[in-house]
Amino acid sequence: MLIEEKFTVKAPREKVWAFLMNPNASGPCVPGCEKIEVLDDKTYRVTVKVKIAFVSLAFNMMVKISEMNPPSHLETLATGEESGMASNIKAKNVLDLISLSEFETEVSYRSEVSLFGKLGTMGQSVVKGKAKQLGREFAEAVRDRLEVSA
Amino acid sequence: MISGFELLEPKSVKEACSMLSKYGDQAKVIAGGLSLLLFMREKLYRPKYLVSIMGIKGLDYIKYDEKNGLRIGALTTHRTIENSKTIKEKFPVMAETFHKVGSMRIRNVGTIGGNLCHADPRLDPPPTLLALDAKVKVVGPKGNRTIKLEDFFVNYYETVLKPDEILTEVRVPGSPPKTGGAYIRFSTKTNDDTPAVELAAVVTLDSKKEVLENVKIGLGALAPTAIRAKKTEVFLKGKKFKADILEEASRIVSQEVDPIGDLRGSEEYKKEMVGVMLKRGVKMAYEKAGR
Amino acid sequence: MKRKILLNINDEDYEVEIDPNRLLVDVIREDIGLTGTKKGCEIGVCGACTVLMDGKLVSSCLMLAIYAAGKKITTIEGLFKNGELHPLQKAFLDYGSFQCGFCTPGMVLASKAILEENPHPTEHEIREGLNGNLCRCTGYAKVVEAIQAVAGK
Repeated sequence: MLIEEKFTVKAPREKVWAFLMNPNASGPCVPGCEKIEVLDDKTYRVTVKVKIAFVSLAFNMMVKISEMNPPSHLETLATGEESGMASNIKAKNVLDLISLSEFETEVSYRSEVSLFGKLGTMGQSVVKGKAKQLGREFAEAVRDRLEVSA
Repeated sequence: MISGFELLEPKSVKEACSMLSKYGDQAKVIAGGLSLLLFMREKLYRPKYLVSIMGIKGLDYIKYDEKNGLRIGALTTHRTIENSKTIKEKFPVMAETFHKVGSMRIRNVGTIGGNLCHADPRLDPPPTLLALDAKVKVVGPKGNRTIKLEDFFVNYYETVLKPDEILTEVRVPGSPPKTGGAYIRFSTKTNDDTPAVELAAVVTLDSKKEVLENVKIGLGALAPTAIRAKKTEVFLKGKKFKADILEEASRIVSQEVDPIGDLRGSEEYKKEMVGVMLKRGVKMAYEKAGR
Repeated sequence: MKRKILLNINDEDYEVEIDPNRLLVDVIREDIGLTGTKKGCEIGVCGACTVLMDGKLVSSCLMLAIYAAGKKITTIEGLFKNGELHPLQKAFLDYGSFQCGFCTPGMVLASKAILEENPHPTEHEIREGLNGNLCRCTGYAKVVEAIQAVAGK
């Protein structure tokens, strides 16, 4: 399934790039992100917990940077599993930063997500719907941290 | 295999609430069990305690009077509702909607309370109940509250119910004269599959049967919860029933929704289809209201 | 914790000691040994696990066995009484209304429920009544004919 979102941040592009590329800074913006381990300069291990009402899902992911063009373009491949549901997840992600002005950046991301296993057969629309909601929370969190009130 | 649990069988709502208080998030209410057992079999959820309310007497009823409207006990099955003479007479769109739930086997066991508390946006009853301005009565250890159905749903599988509360009754106000309703369940695969678009339209006409005095539109499968199409309702209210008005309303409802593209249709397709179903639904409701 | 319950199946009482998480279909098949009731989709959609509970069709794959205590359960085996096949079973044989036979027990019970509610159904009403029972072999035509034949008598 395809998840495509964009949002604007009132901050210069370089600052947004540096922020997003720093896992300690941007990790906490991902709702449910519990742990980010930097394995090497291109690889991260990430644990994300998602709650859908009374259902708790825990995703253990490996994220590898496949292409990087600072400060505007980033491609990553995330693979992992949700062990409780015997499900695997694979996501090809593309992140683009566009300078709208000196102090405004448009962040746009596009993820091609494949869900395998129980979550794939049962939960596609709900997972996608939830991902959209979490994407909005992510955008809010990024804006909160980066936008400096004058 | 469903994971192990203790089955608790309270004999009163009060007892049930105190059990839920005691065990907190380790416990869950089970009625007919259809949706819950499905989740548990798929290992999505493993509660330690199931509080079965099936043994509580006095929650299976359909009452109607002019003053209070319709009151349905939470443990009333879909089958009882679809076959109820009172409901077929006073709220025919409800009988039609409940007839469409699952199969006869599901309707014989599934309850209206369980359906609403499960809060899957793709279930059939919510759009119709929303369009009928339904309210729910909820009982907890600290007392009762009555909640408008449109405030009851929060997100996928999530309602405003606190962990120690139980939904005990569904209330639907009486319909004024010259009111008609229609429920459309549009499925892109097979007839019994999860639908791509659900639309319920309840329309009240003026004495001349020309003007849409009041319009309520309930939508399902198009958002994280079932919703009312408020902007579309505001547009249609007070207007004469005409083709160009319907066209404009179908454009408004398409813009009003933000559906998820999935196996049952892309985002664009669902947006287009809700417009089509709106025209059909309002027309059917209008015709029924005029009889 | 296991519980002792009394299940009344096909007019016979069976006492079983089971955990609350046991499903009715499994208790019927494994503990009591009546394997006419089948497990198909196990999510209540296909109808292979259909049984009658107090005369109503239910999916035994989504029913806690404990919920069936004190109720009158009829499985497909219960239609064979006093050495005689039920008229629907005879009709299914006469009209060839099954091939692999997996959906058949559920199909026969659903047919029984249709005729009990509506002794002279139209073809549309029959097909609507069967909409919860999936068959991959027959295309349903012969099932409809068998039901019509019994209704016509």
